[in-house]
Amino acid sequence: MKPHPDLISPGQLGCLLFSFLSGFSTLFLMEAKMVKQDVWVSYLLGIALSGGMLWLLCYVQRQHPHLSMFEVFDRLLGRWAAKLLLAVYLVYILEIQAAAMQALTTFYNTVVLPNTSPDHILLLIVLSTTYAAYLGLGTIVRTVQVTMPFFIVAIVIISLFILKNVDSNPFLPMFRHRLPEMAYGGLLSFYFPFGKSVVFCFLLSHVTRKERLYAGSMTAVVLSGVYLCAATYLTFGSLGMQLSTDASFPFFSAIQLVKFGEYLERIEIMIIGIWTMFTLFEVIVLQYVFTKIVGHLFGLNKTQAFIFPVGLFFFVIAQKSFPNINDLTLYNLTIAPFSTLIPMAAIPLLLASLTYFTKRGIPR
Amino acid sequence: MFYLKGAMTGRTKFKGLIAMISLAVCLSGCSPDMTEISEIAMVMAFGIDYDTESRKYTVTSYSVVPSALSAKDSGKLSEWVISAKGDSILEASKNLRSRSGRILIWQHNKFVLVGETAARRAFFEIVDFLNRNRQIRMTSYLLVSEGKAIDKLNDNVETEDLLSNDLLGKVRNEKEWGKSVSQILQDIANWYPNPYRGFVTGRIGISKLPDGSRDALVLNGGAVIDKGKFKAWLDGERVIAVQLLSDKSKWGMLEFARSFEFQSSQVSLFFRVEHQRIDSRCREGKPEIDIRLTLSATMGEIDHQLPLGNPETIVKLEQAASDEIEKLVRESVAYYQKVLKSDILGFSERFAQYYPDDWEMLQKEWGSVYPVMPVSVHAKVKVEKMGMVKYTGVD
Repeated sequence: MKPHPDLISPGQLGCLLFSFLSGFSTLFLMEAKMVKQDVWVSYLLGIALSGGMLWLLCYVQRQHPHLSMFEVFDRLLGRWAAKLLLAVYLVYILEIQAAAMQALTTFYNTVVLPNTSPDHILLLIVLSTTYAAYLGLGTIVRTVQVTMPFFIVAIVIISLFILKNVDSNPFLPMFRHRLPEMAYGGLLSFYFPFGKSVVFCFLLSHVTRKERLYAGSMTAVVLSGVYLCAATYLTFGSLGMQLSTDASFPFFSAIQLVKFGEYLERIEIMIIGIWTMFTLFEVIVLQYVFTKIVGHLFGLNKTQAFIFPVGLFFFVIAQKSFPNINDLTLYNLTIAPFSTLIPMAAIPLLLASLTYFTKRGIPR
Repeated sequence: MFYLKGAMTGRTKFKGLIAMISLAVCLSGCSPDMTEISEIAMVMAFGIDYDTESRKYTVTSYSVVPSALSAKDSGKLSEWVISAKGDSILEASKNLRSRSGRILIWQHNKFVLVGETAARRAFFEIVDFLNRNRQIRMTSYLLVSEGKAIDKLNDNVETEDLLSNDLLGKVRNEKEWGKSVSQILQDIANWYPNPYRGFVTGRIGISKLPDGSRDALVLNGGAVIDKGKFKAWLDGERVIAVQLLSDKSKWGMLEFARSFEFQSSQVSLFFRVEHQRIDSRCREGKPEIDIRLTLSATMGEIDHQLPLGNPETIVKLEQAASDEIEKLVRESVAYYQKVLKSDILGFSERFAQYYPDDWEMLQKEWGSVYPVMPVSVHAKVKVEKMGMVKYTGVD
């Protein structure tokens, strides 16, 4: 019997989650600019918090192996409360997709295509993600599996070349920031990138071997953390602390320093291509999940016809959000770490608690 | 995407065709960022000067124009120097367009020449402009010009090559003599805002050929930048120690020559650094620096016969060479400390990194601590080669 095209293995889930988290993670290095050499502590905090939330969501899914997460919401919370909380996820997805699309557009407009209209770039992104979301989860995952080796090989090669420019350990001296600063850095890295993994709760029912859910997803989060930490180390080491803090796109600036021999420069152009592909996976997954949530909220059996309208909706929201880069930075640093705590922490905790007490037979 | 689902009807074919045609607007040829090669001039070096009286900047670009009007001319490059003034560097660089019939492309730029006055008065603005501009690569070299930068860009080079190629060759040659040191923008952008340290970058000047017939561009010595502006020139002899005590990217391939007296002979050796280690220490809040260098040496020339076949002579020669290197480094560091009073080797960063608690106190009085800070120098030289001749003098 032919397997369902939207069923994926835990390994495939891990690959998708890694690309989802890693695409944008190295673009701004916000928390690194804030807590500098102590950023690894913030990353550990972010990974630990995300790991905890993922564990709760996997626990909820394992207790309801035959239900999708939408149905779990309905069963645990009741129809209308479930709709309300799912709507919270819609808002969350809109927030992070707008931030992601604007970040990508700003990057392209600043570095590569200064004369191209940002709307043009946004439209191209939406067209690509719409097509990918239309093809379904199975195809998206297989595409990730095909492109990931290219990404990994390219990043490893470029990292080795950047490493040549690192003379001393840039993570020294350690613990020079106060605990609240490092904790706030942890909150930032929980919001972006690691906490975004909660979106994957809506894909957990597509995974074939539920007992491997947590291992697959947590491996991806940890590897994404390793990649982010390595990128930060290399950026600080090669670019210097001052320039890393000042640069708009620090890791990209570090990559710009790489040259093979005397004349072969501009390697970053190749990296931008591969990196862009990875960043698109984030928007693709968000668009796919958003459409599924909309479908569940309105009781639609088939949602494919809504993928393009959702793409256009994403386009409009992204176009109208964060008109300049400072707005995006301010939002990322001050508002989003708190506003996103409801979908990233409160709802998973609520679901896990309800599942636990329901399982123990304690009346709600 | 419509083709993937079931059989195509005429209507779906039409929809697919419309979708494909609409995607044509996304092709790269329609992008406003596309530029034809026949329309461009590549800026390979540019200079920035500042006039204190008029408070205007002058930006001078040295460009090459790829000419491919015929198959015979393909691959030829013609040089082209233009300059323009403005109230800011950006304005002056934009004003260059009034003299240019081509689109100026800065991504291939290799050198930024900063006039002496501009380096003294407007270094902050210059580095800020260079950092902010997306077209200027952080791997470009920044050189400070004796006098005006525009004069250097208008000067012909001895090799008759493109000026940028000639300068690149001179920078490449720095590792073969050590008396010039050029820095890339990335390092400068990282160092210049630090109030505790200075740094040395390349110094470009003009010198007459020995017969006095014409001028020639030279890279010799260095320009000391401290507290965000040009402070002093450094001569070539003083630059060797900067190379020796910098990162491995500087000393890793360095080869430099020293001549000294040994057993009544003038001996010239050329040295390579095998190992370099700089330790910082804080004892009871007092900073110290310990420098250890291991070098290998090759005999370059001697002016009298020496018993070089005798191992004892080699041991003595190695000791004399070690003393010479120690003297060179010790005197240079003392010059940086006591005369320049500028931490051009970045010792302060070592204390900040390895002794952060002590640094909290030290940084407040770094200006007075640095000039008197004890620095010990230990060099060990091994003479490994005698050159291409077997003759070693009288045994």
